[in-house]
Amino acid sequence: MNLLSLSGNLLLVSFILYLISTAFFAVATSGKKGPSKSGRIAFSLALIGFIAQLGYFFTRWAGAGHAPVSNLYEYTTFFGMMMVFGFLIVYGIYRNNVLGLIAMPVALLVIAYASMFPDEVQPLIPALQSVWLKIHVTTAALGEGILAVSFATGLLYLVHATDFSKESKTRTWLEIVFFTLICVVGYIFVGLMFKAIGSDSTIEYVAKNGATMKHEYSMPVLTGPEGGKVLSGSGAFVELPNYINANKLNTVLWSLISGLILYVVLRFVVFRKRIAETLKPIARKIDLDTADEISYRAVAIGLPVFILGGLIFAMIWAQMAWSRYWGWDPKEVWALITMLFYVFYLHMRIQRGWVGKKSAWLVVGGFAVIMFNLIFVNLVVAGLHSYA
Amino acid sequence: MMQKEFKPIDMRYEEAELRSNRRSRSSISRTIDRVWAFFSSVKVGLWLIGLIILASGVGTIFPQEMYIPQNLPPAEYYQKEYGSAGLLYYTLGFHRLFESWWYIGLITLLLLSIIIVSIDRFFPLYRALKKQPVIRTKRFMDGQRFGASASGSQDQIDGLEPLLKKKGYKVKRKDGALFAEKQRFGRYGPYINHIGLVLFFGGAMLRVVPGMHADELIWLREGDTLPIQATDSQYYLKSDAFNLEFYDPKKENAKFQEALERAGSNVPKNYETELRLYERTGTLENGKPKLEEVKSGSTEVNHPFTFGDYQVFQEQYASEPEFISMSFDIMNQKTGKPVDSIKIDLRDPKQEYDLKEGYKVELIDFFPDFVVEDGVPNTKSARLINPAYVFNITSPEHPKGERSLVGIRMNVGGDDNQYAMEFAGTEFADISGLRVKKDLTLPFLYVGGIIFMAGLIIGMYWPHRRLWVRSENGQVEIAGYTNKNALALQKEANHALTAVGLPELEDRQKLREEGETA
Ligand code: HEM
Repeated sequence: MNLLSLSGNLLLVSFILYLISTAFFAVATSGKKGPSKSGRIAFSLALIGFIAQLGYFFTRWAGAGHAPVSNLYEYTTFFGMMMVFGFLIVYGIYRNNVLGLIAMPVALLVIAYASMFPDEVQPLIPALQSVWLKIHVTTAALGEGILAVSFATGLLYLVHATDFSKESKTRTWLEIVFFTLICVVGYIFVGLMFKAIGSDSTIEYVAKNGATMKHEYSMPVLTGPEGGKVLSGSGAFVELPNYINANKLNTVLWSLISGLILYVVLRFVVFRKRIAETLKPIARKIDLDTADEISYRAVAIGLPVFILGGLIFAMIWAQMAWSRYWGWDPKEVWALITMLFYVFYLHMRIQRGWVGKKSAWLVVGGFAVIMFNLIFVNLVVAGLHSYA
Repeated sequence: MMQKEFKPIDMRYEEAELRSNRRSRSSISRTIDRVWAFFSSVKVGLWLIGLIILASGVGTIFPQEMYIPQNLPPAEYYQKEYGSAGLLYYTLGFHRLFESWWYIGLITLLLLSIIIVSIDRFFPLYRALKKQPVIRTKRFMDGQRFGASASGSQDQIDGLEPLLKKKGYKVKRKDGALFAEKQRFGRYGPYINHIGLVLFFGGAMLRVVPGMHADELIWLREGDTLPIQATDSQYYLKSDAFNLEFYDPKKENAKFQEALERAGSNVPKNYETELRLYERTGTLENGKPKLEEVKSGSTEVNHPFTFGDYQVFQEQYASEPEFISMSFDIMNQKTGKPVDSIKIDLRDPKQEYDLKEGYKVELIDFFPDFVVEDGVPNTKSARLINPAYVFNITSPEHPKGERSLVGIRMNVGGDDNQYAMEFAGTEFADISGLRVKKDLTLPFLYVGGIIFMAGLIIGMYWPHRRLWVRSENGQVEIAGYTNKNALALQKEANHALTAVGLPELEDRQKLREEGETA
């Protein structure tokens, strides 16, 4: 067996271990109080899964000949791994099972999301052939992974602190957050499903600048370009003017539709209450002060790491590769925004007493900024960093 | 036992008097006070951060001007590409947002705010931390978030001293009371990081000082030598060769095959320019510069070529190589035999080429990048990528000459002539886009960046912890303080306290909250 397929298998193993670990965290939190055996098992499984994923990382490194952080698939997988790592550290300090029940699924979601990108190893273009790239990307992902822990605790805090029997902004927004997460699940579901049944289409069209372009769809085509010619697969349901990217919109639509279906089923058939509310009995097991404190510490630990990796090392690399340490490229700007956002959080907290709910909302927002930079800026806003 | 009403003390500045709280009498100093108070207000600082976040986000909605293709005027580009939203974006000047006066203004205000807020708080804080009394008032002790109180003895307090010292605390004693402290320097972290930030941005702004920064893009053809304007033409660069290597799907290890197929086009593996650096040491008799070789080497992506304060970066390369010479045979179309041949050096084309007895080729017109515009031959650019010529061939049979327009796969008017130009060969040269840079502000950025990171880490990873213990009439009062990580303080303190038989620290804030909800 060659290194690359070994690497792929290790990733699969780690994914399955994370899944089982999550199940054990669920058992651990459903039982009564006290240190539980299932909690320890859950933690051990997560740890072994993490080691397996490290195995994935280094065997892929050896197989490809360069650190596997050079395209969206590799980076997103690595980010998921760093989220697990961040969680393991925090678990080591606080031994909180409830946290595992939120942090592990989010990490799983990120890793599953990564698998939607082309996963073959790519040769590196000259700009990416630099040690600083590896240092920059791994450190940035580590910082983001630790910051993601604050998202998990922030969410727990909000679920715990919200009274679901009364109409409130928090109640509404929390539901929006969960709906978004469910849309990601939906996207992964339909993505895998259409991949399995094979629903690729290619549509040719004439772009704004007169050039003939092609859209390659991997999902059935809901929205296509105006006057598009179907080269293979199915035609468009609706044609849209050319300044809208019909292909990306198609993906977004499928995510929304599948997310909506999933949400409706969960909300009205399975649980018969708000998704956030179903987590309330679990969230109640972490006390508010602890959740608040973990959030803050995760930011206090994660932010310096993120700034070092995502800004400082990034600038050193940019200086070597592009002769300028800063170029206002969208990805750079969003890294700056991420930093400023968390700086805003810290000052609000210390200087203006924003603790508790407000502070929890800020860390949830911070994670949204990170994900925005990872997904949206890479896929939608073009720039030097758009790998895919 | 229920705690008496807990009245927390704001410990951020140790109850010190801040400059921004001062109100002077005279009107001038009152104005200064107001300005000072404005900038040292954290509220103002946070507004600035919020506005910068918003503005920066807006700056990424559409690409900035520097990232759009150069072949259209920006106004047209934004409208064509993004419709009326694009036009609005352009009209509001957002296409150059990060260079706009108001964005730079916001950053400047933020820096001012950071400087003033830091001065405002650092000195009072420093003084307060420098001379801390061992014995604190009861109000102070009771106002700490962590504390405990129990009957106990002086011996127990004495017993704490070695235990806390072992944990790294510095312990001071007075009249039996105890004060233990560690990692005080952690409190200075924010100030250190603010200074680093100011140095960093200040350094970046130094770029506007003449001589600090130079930046030039040079398109250098293989074999050419060009002056570096950024060095006042004191230095010249010559390209010996430009080497471009692509990943070859056939040769590359099988593992990259799939990715290379997906990419469709060629993926570059490496490109580099072999360089020679010359210094101008004088002027030759023909008026040309006298050059002396100083250094040679190569520049490739991620590995610039360095000389003095300058670096030469391999930034880009022209997608099409340029022609440097073209050879032609002059054919007698009647006999089908060549009469003679010429070679045109395109970098320095002559007007006339003398051939053997009675024959001559005149170069009437030359188009480096040929197009026909409105039926008239013209050139699109000065680059030698599609050369075309108007020749006039004089021969014994045609003393006035025969004209033709000759280009690549094109010969207009030549068919009817007796003599025609026929391609005999070409030489190409690759063109490398080199970025020559000097940036004397970089050391400031390095120093600023290091100080910033150091401050950040000190402030975040070294929490300041303190413990006060004293006894009065057989009652031992304990108070604890930490600016971060309450859990660790409790752990450390409780370990020592229980070892000598004193009660553990209580979290009074939590007790109060629980009292409220109960
Ligand atoms: C990009 C800009 C800034 C960065 C990166 C930054 C960074 C920091 C950090 C990391 C801390 C420590 C926070 C903590 O311990 O949780 C801090 C503290 C502080 N910052 Fe900033 N800051 C910035 C701008 C500002 C501005 C604009 C103001 C006010 C106008 C300000 C006022 C303060 C104050 C008063 C403290 C607390 C100092 C203390 O605890 O003694 N900062 N800053």
